[in-house]
Amino acid sequence: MNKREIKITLNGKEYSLEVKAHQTLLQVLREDLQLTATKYSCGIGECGACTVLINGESHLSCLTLSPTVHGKNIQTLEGLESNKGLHPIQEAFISEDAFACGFCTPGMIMSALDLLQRGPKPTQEEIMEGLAGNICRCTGYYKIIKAVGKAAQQMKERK
Amino acid sequence: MTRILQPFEFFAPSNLEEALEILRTYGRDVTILAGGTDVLSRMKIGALQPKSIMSIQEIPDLDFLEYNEKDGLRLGPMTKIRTVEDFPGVREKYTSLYEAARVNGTPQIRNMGTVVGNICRSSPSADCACALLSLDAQICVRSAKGVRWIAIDKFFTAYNETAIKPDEMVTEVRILPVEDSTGTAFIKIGRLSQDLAKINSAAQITLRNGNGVCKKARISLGAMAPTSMRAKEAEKLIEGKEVTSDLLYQAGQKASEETQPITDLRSTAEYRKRVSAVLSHRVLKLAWERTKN
Repeated sequence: MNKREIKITLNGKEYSLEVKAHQTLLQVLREDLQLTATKYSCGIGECGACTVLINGESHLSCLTLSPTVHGKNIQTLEGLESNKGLHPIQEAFISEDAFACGFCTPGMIMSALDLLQRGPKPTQEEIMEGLAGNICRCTGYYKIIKAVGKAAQQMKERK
Repeated sequence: MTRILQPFEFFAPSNLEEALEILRTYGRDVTILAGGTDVLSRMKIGALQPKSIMSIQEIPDLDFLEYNEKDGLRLGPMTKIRTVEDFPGVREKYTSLYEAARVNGTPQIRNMGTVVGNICRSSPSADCACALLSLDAQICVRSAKGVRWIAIDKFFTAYNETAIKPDEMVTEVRILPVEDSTGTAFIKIGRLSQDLAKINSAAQITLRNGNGVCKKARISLGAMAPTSMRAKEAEKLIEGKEVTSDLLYQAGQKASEETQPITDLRSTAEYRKRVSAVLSHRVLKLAWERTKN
């Protein structure tokens, strides 16, 4: 087959889509669904700008074939905000000034979300390892690591 | 987007029989897709242009990871690197594999990529492959005609080539339980821990009960030859002798003599040759220290 009907849950909503076999998940998100928070940068899995969660785990949408996500649960940055407002990670990125140009931020936040879902109290070293798949060319990472630490603290307090 | 994929025929069989039938019919024209991290990145840089792709993600029961005292560790072709890294049985019994899985790419790559994909690519710098080589893993391959087992030592035949025939696919990897008084270790040298290795090395040392004589030694090296390799002369040097730090130093020198490194963008042949002696000594020593636990 060259095309496939897929059913996915995207940011909590059910979608039925027809995708071309050679379209990546990133292309479907950005070009077909106009969900442009997830970024295209290197295209070969080196930079992490295209990170999304699939069934709760961080994946590179530029290296994910769209027909293979049939039946899966996908979360992008657009799905983080709820009626209670921004997600604690988003709030912490703002309060800690954890970005400059902002291009890597959606991927950084999705990787941070995977990390904080695995363990609520990461050490600085664990945060650095958890974000090792995301490249930032502006901040020098220091503020990002601080923001993720702060978000972890706030997520714990909210529980 | 500038890096996009060229069209191909796509298959997503829902059971193993169907998958083996597709392999029998299309052979070399079909590329198997498990995690996709390697296949898609190579397609995007033009290094791979498959006519068709077969995803094995929808075949049930290919994602398993079990340990028992009799069969040892069993893992499937859809078992993710991250799953292996997080499995307590791997960390306790096969420390070298745990240490390799931990640095086998970024968190996203480890969430997506599979251990079987790591060996099927037959890249000389593959981390999990290097550890599995020192653990004498056995690889089960299946075709429509039947099943056969391949020792990992015979699996990597050339750069990017394995002993798998076009109509076959890997369905299981097995590592026998390690004996008592065994230590294993893996160390990689790279710019950052998640980068591809400049050099990697794994070792396994088993001592005879009650004394310090080596019963079995394994030392493997990556990015030092066209495929991941065993340094068999170095192993022979250690086996049957009482292990000392000096003996392991000599084994490191010997291991380095057995390598045929090249210069590429990650390192030079000269550097690799020199540092491989130090690295294999270090990894042997670490494995030896762990025999005491």
